[in-house]
Amino acid sequence: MNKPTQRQGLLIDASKKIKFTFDGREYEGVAGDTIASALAANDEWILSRSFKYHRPRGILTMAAQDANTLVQIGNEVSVFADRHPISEGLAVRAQNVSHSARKDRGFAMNRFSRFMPVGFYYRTFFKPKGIWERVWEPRIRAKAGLGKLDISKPTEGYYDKAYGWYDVVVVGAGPAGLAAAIAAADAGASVLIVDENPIIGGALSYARVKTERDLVHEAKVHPNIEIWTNATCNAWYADNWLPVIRGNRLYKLRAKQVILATGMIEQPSQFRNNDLPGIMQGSAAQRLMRLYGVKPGKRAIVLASNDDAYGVALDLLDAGVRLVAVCDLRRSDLRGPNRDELKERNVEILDGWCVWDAMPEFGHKHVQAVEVAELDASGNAGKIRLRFDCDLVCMSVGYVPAYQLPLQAGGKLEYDDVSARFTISGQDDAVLLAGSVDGFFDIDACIADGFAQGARAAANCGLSISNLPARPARSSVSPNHPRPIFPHPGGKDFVDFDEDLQVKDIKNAVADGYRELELVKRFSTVGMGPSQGRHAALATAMLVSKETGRTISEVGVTTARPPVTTEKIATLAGRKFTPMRRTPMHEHHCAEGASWLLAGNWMRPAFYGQGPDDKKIIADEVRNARNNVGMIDVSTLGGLDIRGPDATEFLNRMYTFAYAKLPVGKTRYLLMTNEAGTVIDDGVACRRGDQYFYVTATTTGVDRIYRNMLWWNAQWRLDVDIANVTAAYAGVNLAGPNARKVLTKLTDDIDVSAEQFPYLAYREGKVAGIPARVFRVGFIGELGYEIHVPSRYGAELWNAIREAGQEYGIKPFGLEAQRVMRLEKGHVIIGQDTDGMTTPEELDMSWAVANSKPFFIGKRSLQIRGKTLSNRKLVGFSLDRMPTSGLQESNLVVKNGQIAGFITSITCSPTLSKVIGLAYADRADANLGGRITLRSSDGSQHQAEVVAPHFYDPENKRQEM
Amino acid sequence: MAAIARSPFADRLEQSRVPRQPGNVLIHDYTPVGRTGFKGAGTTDWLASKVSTLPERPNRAVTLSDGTVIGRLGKEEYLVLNGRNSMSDICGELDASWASESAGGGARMGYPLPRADSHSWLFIKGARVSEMMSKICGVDLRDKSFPPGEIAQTIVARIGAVLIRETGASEGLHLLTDFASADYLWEVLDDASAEYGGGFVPAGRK
Repeated sequence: MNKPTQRQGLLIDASKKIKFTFDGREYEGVAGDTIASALAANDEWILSRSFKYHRPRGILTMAAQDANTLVQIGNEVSVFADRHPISEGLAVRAQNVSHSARKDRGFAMNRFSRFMPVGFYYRTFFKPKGIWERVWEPRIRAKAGLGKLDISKPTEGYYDKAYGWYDVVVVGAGPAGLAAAIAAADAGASVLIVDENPIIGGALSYARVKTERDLVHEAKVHPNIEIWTNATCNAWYADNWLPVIRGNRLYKLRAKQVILATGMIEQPSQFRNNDLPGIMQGSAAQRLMRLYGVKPGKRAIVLASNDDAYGVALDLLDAGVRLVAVCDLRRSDLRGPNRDELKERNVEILDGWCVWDAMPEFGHKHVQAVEVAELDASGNAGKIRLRFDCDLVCMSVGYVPAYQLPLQAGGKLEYDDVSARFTISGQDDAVLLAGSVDGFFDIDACIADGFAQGARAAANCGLSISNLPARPARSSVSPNHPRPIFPHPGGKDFVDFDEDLQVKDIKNAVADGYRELELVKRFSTVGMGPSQGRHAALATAMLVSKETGRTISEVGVTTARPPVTTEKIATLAGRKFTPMRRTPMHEHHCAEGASWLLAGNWMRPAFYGQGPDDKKIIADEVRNARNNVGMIDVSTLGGLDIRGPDATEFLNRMYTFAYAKLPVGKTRYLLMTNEAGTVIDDGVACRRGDQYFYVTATTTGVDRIYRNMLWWNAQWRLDVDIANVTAAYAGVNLAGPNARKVLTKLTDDIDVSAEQFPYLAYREGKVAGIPARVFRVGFIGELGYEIHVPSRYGAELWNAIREAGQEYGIKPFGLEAQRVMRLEKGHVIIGQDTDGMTTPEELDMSWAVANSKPFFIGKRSLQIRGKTLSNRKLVGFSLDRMPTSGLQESNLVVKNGQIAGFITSITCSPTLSKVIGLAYADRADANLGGRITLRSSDGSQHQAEVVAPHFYDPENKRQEM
Repeated sequence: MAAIARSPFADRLEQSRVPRQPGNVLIHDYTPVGRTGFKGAGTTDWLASKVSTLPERPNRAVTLSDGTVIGRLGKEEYLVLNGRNSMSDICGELDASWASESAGGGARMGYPLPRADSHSWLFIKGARVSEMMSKICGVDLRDKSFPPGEIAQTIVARIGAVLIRETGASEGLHLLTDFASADYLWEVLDDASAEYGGGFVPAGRK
């Protein structure tokens, strides 16, 4: 165990103790520890269990790149234990375990692995028919998945998003990234460095490298550089749009230039039991030691294929770890400063040897020994073997470039099988690569490339660079071994740790005919786990290339899609923006106990008051409007000012009716069809002047209609101005037999007598002292006035009408009552009583179509459609009473067992004391007195009589009084 | 008429908390202050005859000596804001002039727009306004990219908005949005400004 007081690491403060629990057991860590480092300091190496076989898994990368370290904290699943800091009282649990990470009953699955070959899902569970749905799927779903999420709990924490803009965004704060940032910033660019680690420096912070300049300090103090640590650039999108996750905030960044200095991802070697706790990447061991002051083991073996491995070996020695041996996969090109230094430290170095088998402790809880083998001439494990007791195996056999972002930016990854080198090319012009991701492995070359690319990015931003430095030569020696894979006849030589896929699984996938990498991926699920193939893609490509006799470059890699790493749904959701609109009378509606409903994004009162029976409340509102006087807030109604010399012509083209002869001071119904002749909106045109119409549109349709108008007139070029003034006017519909009496009390300058202000007339004047546009309408079938005033005075208008109407028993009514009354009157609601095919003729509204006009939108289509009428017609229907099974909108109209139409509106009329409605029915059944069959949701059928849709006051005496 | 005009923020402002520290992001409601708009053929010529200067191109604003802000939203579209701290009512005068002159017919002079009723008007003030706005608006509003005199006609928290950086009014932005969305906008801004210790300034504390 690492005693806290002895620990020294860049990220920790050993003087500050922190207690936390893992699977219910208490541990002590120190400030700055991650969960994984603190557990490792306590000699607790098992962090999780593998997906299929429940094998113990521990630290692999210490870089939040692998699924081994995923744990659950509270209701948050799949948290990287090697990234998440500990805090006092933090309760951490292992995922995907039966009991705990230490004692997982699911480990029994390890014995049955031979019964679960690659693709066994596809072959095993589909017979007999139906067994998948009934038996297997529920069981597999119960076993699958990482962590347990209680979806009844709200999301913890506050998540939101923000935009950001920079000249240059550098992804990766390693040596190349820092150099690039400094160079770009020196040239005057605004630079942002994004790095997922808690400190900048990348390999400088944990690896055995030395530099002349203190790049970390230079970047930190540079006035043009902003540094975001613990920040993940999770994708690259067109035009350098970068989503960067920083804490609970998702930043949406735009950069003129992006420099990807994402570095390399160290790769594991494949040998038997290569997944045991205690077997990790060399860089992981270095991170544990240098960043967290944790000794990763007592007796170590280093598996080497580059000089970095010898840096790991030296670091282990410096940390007091006994280095048992270094097995170098190479036999030539062995020189390197670290190797030279190690040679002087009296350590056994076996050149041309591999690790062949790792022996576990009881229960596979840790590595306790390895068998190493001398490589034969073909590079395979030979017969000469040695056994070493050890509790730590460090693998440093090569890297792949962190290619996800470069490939998302359009880059293409190439691999030279001979030199074992990757190249990336062809990415977006505004994306530069810098450092080891682009093949600059030597630290000096890596930094020099960073400076060169930073200067280039600044120049691309238009900044002045006097001497643009050339990129240095790429390193001559690759750190990658061409095939560090040593299949074992006993298997358990894992290629993909996430999915428990072994070497034979990949081979068998190819043998089954899946020769292409994308197919191997889908068949075997390799690369589909949380690590997204970071440590499996290259090994898989190597295996597929060998099995198919092609080069790795020919095999390629699978498509790199966003996101680069895990991201929370809460991060994507962020703070919800759901625009809602309120009328100026909203507070009055609240005071009167309104129940709300949404009309588009408007909040509208559905009805007023609370009670056990909503229908009774609505019926009372209807009765009061019919018998006394009611008022409804119609501020949501769309309003458009159409002005100019061509205003009349414009309306004539936009709408089906004719407006040239509409006198000033009169209104006329508006019906709009689209190019196909389908009804899409209606409203009223009020003629304010020769060249001025105030046009209403439906609440939910007005924005679309406004856009339509602008779009059409961009082509017609009529001399007309179109303004959407919906929000600028508040409106009240004052309706009922006593409406005139109420209005009379409120206006001095408008003569509201029937003679001077008849039905469909338009007047302007002051109502309650407020300048108003007033017009007589009959939507609900009663004497009615629509009064529109500037929004700022809407509340005052409402108050005034309410007060003036008191003596007549005025009551507000909501949208529900309005819908009932308009149905009683037989007025259609566009969108409810129409669909994507409805023509005016189907609605019996041909009277609103002026065919004599030379043009209106939809005219030609209507002429064509008029030659062959549809089979349906909107009809009124009635029933004496509502069936017990109920009938509702969208219930079908059936005829001879076929669908003939559907109900569009239905209500129990409080005025007529029967059920009335509108429905599309067979045209042949549209005659008055006919019968149609309505089908309830429970399948029962009911006969209804076809009647005129003008159920109430068919002679219009009440609305025209 | 002015006595009964109501800002859509009025009910909320009555319960507004006092921002914790001066100097943070403070949101002032100027909805009760006069504003107007004109658009259509002839507007530029007509307006030029009424005021001392006009913005030279769309999406620019000028500030007159009395604090009146004139924003040019299009080739022939203007938004006029009365000076925030001025007693003059240029907007009222312009509306009256237009009404009287248009009655006579003749030259084209555009059409008035009811900006006082279609749009609420806020002034957001503070050193970190652009930072706060970056949470709700996709336009770079930092000084370097959005200097005084610039206008952005854009989307703020999913609703249409006009943003104006007034010349001479450092560290502040005019925000004009849909009158009917005021309550929603309150929630958005109150939330966004909380991080910067700010919020709506109670009525009467400008």
